[in-house]
Amino acid sequence: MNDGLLLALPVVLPALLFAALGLAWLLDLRPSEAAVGRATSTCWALAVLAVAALVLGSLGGLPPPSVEFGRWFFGGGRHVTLALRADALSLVMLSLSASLVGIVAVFSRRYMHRDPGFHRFFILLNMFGAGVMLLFAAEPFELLAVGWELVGAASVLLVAFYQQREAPARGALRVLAAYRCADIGLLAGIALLHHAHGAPSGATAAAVAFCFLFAAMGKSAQVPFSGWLPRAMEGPTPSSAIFYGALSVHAGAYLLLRARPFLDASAWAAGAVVAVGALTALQGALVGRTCPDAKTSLAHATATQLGLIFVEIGLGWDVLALWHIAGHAVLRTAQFLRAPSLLHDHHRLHSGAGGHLTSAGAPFGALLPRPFQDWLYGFALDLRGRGLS
Amino acid sequence: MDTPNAVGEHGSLTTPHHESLEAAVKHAAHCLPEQGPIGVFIHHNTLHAFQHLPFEEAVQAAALSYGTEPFLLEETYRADFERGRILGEDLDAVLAAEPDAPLWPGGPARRRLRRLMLVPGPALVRAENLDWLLAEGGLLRGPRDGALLAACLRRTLARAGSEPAVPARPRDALLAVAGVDSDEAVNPHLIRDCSAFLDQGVAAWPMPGREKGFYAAVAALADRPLALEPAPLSGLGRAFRRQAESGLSPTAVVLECLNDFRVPRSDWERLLTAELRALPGWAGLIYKLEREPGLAPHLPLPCSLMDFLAVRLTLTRVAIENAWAGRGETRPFWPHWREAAAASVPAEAERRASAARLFDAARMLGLSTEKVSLLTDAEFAGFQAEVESFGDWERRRLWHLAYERRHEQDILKLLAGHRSVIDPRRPAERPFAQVVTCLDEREESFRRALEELEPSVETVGAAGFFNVAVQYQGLDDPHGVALCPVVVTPRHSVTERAREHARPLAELRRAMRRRWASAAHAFETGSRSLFAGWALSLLSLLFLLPLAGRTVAPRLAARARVWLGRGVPRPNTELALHRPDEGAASAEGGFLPGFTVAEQAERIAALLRAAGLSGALSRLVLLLGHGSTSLNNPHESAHDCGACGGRRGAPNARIAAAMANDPRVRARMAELGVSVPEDSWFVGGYHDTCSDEVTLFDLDAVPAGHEAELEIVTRARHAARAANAHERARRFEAADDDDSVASALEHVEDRADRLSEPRPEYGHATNAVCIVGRRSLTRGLFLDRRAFLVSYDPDRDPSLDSLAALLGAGGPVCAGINLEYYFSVVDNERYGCGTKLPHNLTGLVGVMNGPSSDLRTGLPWQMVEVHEPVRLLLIVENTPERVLEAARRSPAVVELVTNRWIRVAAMDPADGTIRVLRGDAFVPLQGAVEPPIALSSVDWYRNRLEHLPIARIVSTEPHPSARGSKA
Amino acid sequence: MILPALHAALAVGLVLSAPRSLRTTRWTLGVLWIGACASAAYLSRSTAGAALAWAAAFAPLLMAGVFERPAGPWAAFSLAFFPAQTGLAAAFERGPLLPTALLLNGHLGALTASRLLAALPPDDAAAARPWVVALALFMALASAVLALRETRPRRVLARLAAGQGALILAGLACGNAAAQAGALALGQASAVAMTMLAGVCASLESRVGAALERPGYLGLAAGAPRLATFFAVAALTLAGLPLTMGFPALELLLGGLFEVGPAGLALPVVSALNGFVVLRLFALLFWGPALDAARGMPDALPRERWFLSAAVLFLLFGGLFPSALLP
Repeated sequence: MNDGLLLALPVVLPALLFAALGLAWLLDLRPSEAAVGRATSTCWALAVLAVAALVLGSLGGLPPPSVEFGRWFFGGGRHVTLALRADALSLVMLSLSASLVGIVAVFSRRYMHRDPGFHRFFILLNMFGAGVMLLFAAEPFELLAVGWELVGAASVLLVAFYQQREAPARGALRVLAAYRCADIGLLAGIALLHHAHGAPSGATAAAVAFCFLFAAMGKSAQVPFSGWLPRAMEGPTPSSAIFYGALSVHAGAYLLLRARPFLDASAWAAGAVVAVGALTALQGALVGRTCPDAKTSLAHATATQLGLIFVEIGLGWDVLALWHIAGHAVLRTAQFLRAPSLLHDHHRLHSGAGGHLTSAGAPFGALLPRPFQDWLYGFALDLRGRGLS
Repeated sequence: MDTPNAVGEHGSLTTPHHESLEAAVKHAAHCLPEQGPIGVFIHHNTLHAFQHLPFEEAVQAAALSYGTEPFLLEETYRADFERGRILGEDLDAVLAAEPDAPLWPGGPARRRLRRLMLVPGPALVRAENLDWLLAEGGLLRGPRDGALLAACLRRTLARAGSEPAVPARPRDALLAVAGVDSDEAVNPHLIRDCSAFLDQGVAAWPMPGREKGFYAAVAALADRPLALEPAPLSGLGRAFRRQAESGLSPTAVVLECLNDFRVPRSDWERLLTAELRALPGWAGLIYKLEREPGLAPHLPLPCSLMDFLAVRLTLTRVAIENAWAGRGETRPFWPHWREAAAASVPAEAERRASAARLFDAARMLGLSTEKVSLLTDAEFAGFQAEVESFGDWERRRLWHLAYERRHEQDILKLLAGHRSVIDPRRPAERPFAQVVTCLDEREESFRRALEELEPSVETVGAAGFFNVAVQYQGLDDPHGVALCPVVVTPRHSVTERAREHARPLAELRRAMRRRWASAAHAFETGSRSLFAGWALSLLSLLFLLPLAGRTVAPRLAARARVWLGRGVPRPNTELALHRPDEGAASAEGGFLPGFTVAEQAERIAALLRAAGLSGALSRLVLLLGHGSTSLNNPHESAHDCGACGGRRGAPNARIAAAMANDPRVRARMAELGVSVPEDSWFVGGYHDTCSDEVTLFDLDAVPAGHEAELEIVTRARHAARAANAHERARRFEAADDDDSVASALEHVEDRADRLSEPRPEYGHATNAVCIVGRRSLTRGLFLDRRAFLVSYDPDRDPSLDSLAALLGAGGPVCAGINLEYYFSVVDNERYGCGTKLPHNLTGLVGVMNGPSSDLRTGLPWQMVEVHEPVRLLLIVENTPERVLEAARRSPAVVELVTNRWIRVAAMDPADGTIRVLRGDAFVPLQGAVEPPIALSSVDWYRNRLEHLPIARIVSTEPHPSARGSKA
Repeated sequence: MILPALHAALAVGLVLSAPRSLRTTRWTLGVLWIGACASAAYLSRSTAGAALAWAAAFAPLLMAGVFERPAGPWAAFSLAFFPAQTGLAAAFERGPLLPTALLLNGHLGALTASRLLAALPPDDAAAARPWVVALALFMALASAVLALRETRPRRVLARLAAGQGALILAGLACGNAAAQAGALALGQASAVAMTMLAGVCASLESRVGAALERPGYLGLAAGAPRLATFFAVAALTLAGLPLTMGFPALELLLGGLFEVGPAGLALPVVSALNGFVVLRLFALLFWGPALDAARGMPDALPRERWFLSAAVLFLLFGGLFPSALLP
């Protein structure tokens, strides 16, 4: 099997499964839960195997695999080459996505058992899986935008998974607003790139870099857009884990890693990335400390680490950023999947520690005077409210 | 925005106002849920505030004021009718109990109309969908229907428009008039403050100033310089500062708001109830912690409902005045908000809809157009009133009564049939061994499996705390916890300590656990912080393996964890149980350390006497407490033992066994008239109803002569536990098909360890019946885990003390479980807490839906989905008069029985005839049916998922599993 | 060549699938007449012929009594001066929903205006072109911003129709091949999507009557999940989701407009706003606690399901193989 086909398999397989399940739902065929679960697990197991083979291949010195399916004609002289390419960056992200989506798929088979929305959940999970694999494997930016928007749509529809309540609907619209606003940056960046025939210089490169930064800020919940991340916790736990713990939030960072040539071209853009990342990290750390519930504290912790990843990308440490992304994705997925057991775990910790667990208190608590600490707490609570109101 | 002056001069509001306000608040708070912090889950009647009303009226009154469902939906009852769960005769019997009259002189009877409106049932016609039904929905079927409908349309009178109700609270008026919902600004702010205030240690940075109370803490945070106020709540800091400057106490703030809202004193309670019902979960928890601060798991806090109301009313006022000013309205909002009428459906559309309903009813009765036109106006109006009166709730009430009657007839007739063929007297010879378990209905299948496998074993059902109310501190517990029913407060404490030789081991264990706990806690807080989070997430890639293992192969992961944890030593322990007679009489630290011999004897004697065991004890007696451990289950405590206050009953069983084995206690009990044979030995144990694990304590103390009994009981126990798991696995769709007993046990253990399992066990989801009587009455009966079995011997209880004690303690607990499940099934979104998949545990006190919602009380859908919501059927083996006499001794039971919150039946111990309580008189049960015979429980329930009727298990050869898995 | 066939098919589809309560003979004839006139307008070579057919298509809306809910003179006046904003919302709100939507979804007006531009002598046309593009983009932005304030179905559909029309006009007025193809793709995509949205709204109106106008979340997905899915696909097309025809249309328009100048940057903003507005309408109609008026509401009837499925297949085909439908 040449590696091109191996690269295509993890992208095409989930897409076909998504189409098949969607059609089955529309035609009211009602496949059994076991059938849907088994199909999804085998599909993602194959994806993991395919990506593992690719990783072994590239470790064994093979050139980065790439495959071209042909051209996607838009008419009017415009076309998009359907090409997938997996260099080191893509391979890491592909293996991370395949394994984490596989784990969440197995987790959800039992977790979503007998939920009225079981089929809808697995349709959206496979739609997300196909979108994220396409996003990480796409060679041209237009194809990346296709994966990007599929991930966005799946994310919005899964936040509003519990349609019969208002809060998820309002939360989903908040997420939709942030994504649509950020996608302006992506579309504009791609148009600029196309305008400059793929090799922008000077000012256009900076403009493209800023556009991609604007898109990444929306997707990775950076400061001006960080209000939507806690609101996105309305969906079922596994969807929060795979979207806002692992993959969807890191797509922004991946886009910036892909836009490395444009970032190098303009120091201002790199500086902006560092500034945005630092601001988000500080805000996330400050506000996250005040969260008394399992999921929003994890959401703010995720935003903090994403800020640090942006700082690392802005400073040019790509390998460190990639390593940080991979580790952080696994850590958050594990913590989100374990969030419902917080009571059980805290009870064991509390009895093990002999009855008193000291809480950290204000940041740099010892240095700041007491009234300022209280003021800062109020400030952090108001910031948190801004996200939730 | 003009702020009208507060009543009287500032600060010193006249005290009579305070009293009447506090009384109004206390009465309004009655409507709040009773659920405390979720760590300890106590099942109770969700509608405790309406328990003074009869059941049918209470559920409809609550549905009216809370906007909830009184009964299941009509479609559910109709589906049950189609599948035979409700029969025609049930409907007829229920209608027979209702008053009957002809609709008009010479016309059809009301009973016939109602029977037709139940089955096949009316077309669901409403003002909005009438046009659709006429055009597409096929309302008009026959040729003559058009004329009949036209006739009805002509003569139907518009219903007297009810004068528009005064809006309950200002928010409703603003929504009706301006279409703006002030709760969208108030609720998120209040929820954030409540969760931060009540946090028991999850947030790394707790809310400052909590010790000063909720109102003071929130006011201090809102009234900061440069506060970042959301637009709809701008000016909140100023409002709090104004209140602080005028030195208003929370009560004064509430009073000022009520006066500014121009609410007459008579309407105070209605407004306060509506404001509290906006966030019933949080308000209920604050009110509960105000009355019982000790319930807070780690951090007692000064909670006050008046503080909550003060903050809520201040927020509401600021939000409404901002919204009103934002609309540029000239006239002030407060003087006129009570006249705002909510939009309602136009009267004409309503009239046409009721005409269509009338037409549908007339067609069902087979009336022709001529007959309808011949009716006088009065007769027609009467007919219309009759059809309108039999509305949705009324139909569902009759459906529910029929639903319960079918269940009652199935149980009682089969029980009477069984009673007529057996001899209920206790067998003369001494049983080989006895197992005393909790009366919990989940133990019914375990006891039946034990008796099927080892016919010589007799099982007994008693309250799970074995009459030992104790403040118990285990070896690993940091502080003691109360193990007894909620209504009882323990006065004695018992601690578990390592045996003499094992003290150093215990010390090593405590040190290792402390190191592990501090490391794990550092990881938890570190992973959420800035720099430590950065470092940890760099290393976290290696978590991929345990995460994959735990999700894909949980049993393997569990075994690996046990293997890793074997390094931690497990010293064997003893109980600090005895307090010398002349020991400290006064309670030190609130509890007497240990029990004196007299106290022990008194408790064990009462236990044995109530269970009818005095003088009938075998050589080996097992006392099994129960509980449940599971992952990913915030409602884990709801599966524990209700009699042990929502905790695990293992210590109670161990303490009771130790007490009963003490020769001094046995001597003292002999004086109290309870004889314990010399060679009897008690062993304490614990049954985990989730993984079906059964552990026994202090086996090394068993005297020499009992090895034979112990070996046989241990083998029977292992086989019974597998059979019990096999019976439970039939209800789990996810259990694989090859139904060997071993694979079922493996499946059940896997569920307790699986991180992704939202249904570790079904808990009390199968509760329906409570049988108080001799075990010989129910021995060998397959009751499908649906009956609380309380052992009681009517012949040994002339003074009715035992029966009164059992009904007084067991009645409210079982009724509480039954009614909690009833309401959580009937309206899972409002009485229950909805599906548990989006639950977000907050502050270790409760669960929210997603990042910010009201605290969700009640049971999740995954716990109640298989439950059949029928009221508890209490069957007492005694004469009706004596049952009522025993019940009258406890006011709680009297209220439950007279207001029909539980159904009662009495079985005469002598001849076994059953009489059922209808209203206030016992009516004999007609007909008895002998239960079908099955060779073993497995043959009866194999491959059947639904609830099963009673069957008699007559096993001639031993159970297959007894041969299969060796102990 | 596709647009005229599309209009005829849409008109017939609406007639076959519309709720029976609407389908009086006069209503059917009115819809078929509008479909025929629209197709004729697209087919005619000369601009005069197109304008004539365009005016004829208006006739049923102006004549009293043709449709049970008359559009009213003010609405008719504004429709004549397309793409004027103000009267359009009134036309959608008071007028018959389906015929108005059918008339406006193909945006005959934009086509006629661009034909006028083409008829001008080349140098005047070259001078006028950037102005027309700027005006059209400004109209699109204005309608998108106005749409943010609307929440009720009919008024949102009106703003959307105006916005799509303005974008098509901008594309056609651009003059370069990519923008032309993009405008035609958007014309087809919005023709089908707008008709689907109007069709679903009409079905819902016939099911729950005036309850559709209530503020807040109506939660109709519980009663009609299939209708919700069809509405969602149409909404995602207008939002430009890949795999639907909206994406290639957006890409082509973006590429084309960039040739003309930086004003093209307004396009992604407009498409983002339009996408948000139409998906918010989807949320308001279908998400939230179920309306008690909608309890027991029937889902899509077979005839509705066939028409809407055909439309979905067209949109997906257009999304995957756009070049087949464009020059």
